[in-house]
Amino acid sequence: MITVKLLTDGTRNNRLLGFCLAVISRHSENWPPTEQVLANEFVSWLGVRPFLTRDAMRELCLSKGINLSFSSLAQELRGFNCSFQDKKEIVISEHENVPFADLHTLLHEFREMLEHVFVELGWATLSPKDSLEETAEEFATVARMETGAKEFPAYIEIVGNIETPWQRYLGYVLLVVGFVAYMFTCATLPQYEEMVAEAGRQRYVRT
Amino acid sequence: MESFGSYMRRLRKANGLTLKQVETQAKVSNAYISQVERGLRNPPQPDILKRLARAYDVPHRDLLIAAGHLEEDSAETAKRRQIEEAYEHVRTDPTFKQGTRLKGTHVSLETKRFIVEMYEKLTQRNLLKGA
Repeated sequence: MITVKLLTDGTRNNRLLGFCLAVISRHSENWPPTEQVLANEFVSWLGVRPFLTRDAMRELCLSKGINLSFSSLAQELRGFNCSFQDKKEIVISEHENVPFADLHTLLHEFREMLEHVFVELGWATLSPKDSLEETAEEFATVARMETGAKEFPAYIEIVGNIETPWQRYLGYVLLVVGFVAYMFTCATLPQYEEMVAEAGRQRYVRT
Repeated sequence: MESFGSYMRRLRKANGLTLKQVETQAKVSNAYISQVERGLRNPPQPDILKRLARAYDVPHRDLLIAAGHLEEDSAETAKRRQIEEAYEHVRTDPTFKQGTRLKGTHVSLETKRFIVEMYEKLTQRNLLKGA
């Protein structure tokens, strides 16, 4: 009874804890869940969409009790998360110049926060030899793909309502091309970021 | 105290770079870098260090100080030590959970200071005391 009360009180102030408890209750028999399963659960819970402005990201985080800010950080730091008791903060570099990198970083930071909660609850999803950094990267990539996959049927329906056949077919073609391009950018964003960073380094060396 | 050569080797490894890759990025011969890392050559001149600093993602000033080209004043040394100690405290405090997304693996003093400041903000504790 006391445990239930503590958990109820805890989840009221700490929504990340509530989410983790829900995931554990749904997947305890098949633990740990794959990053895809976790990403699917997370995207539905947070309500994250493929394209979000920074203000929309801030509001989403705030709705889950997390402060998100964009700040001028050291050159090597893309994002940072921290939690102490019920206070949770995420800071993302405002100098991210790769499109959608800030959403990727946000999801990366969330995955690290989730793992800290899972560990506290005694339900770690990683073994000591696993790298949380790499897992968070995979999670961010898969979660962004999930957001696209979730929105795709709605767009199909919109295009399906176009009356002129040739316009409808063209719509389908553009939609499929757009979807494939989106998935490709999700999968390759970390590599693209590295390329941009490397190009920046080379430019600096030359000057 | 860590020698200049092993410091340079540690920086290169931390960035996951081979000697060849450093040669390409910084336009410094890989044989020369290898000799510097093994302590067979004196620390490079400031212009070469500038190129290496960029390849290793560290401030040029850090390499100049490590190479003995620049004296770090005692106030700055004290400030640096205070930040390093505070960062170590933050890193090992089990009540404070934190994580980062970094370019490479090097954590600069600026980032360490930022993390300590975030710690101070959340925990209401003062570690830097005006550093």
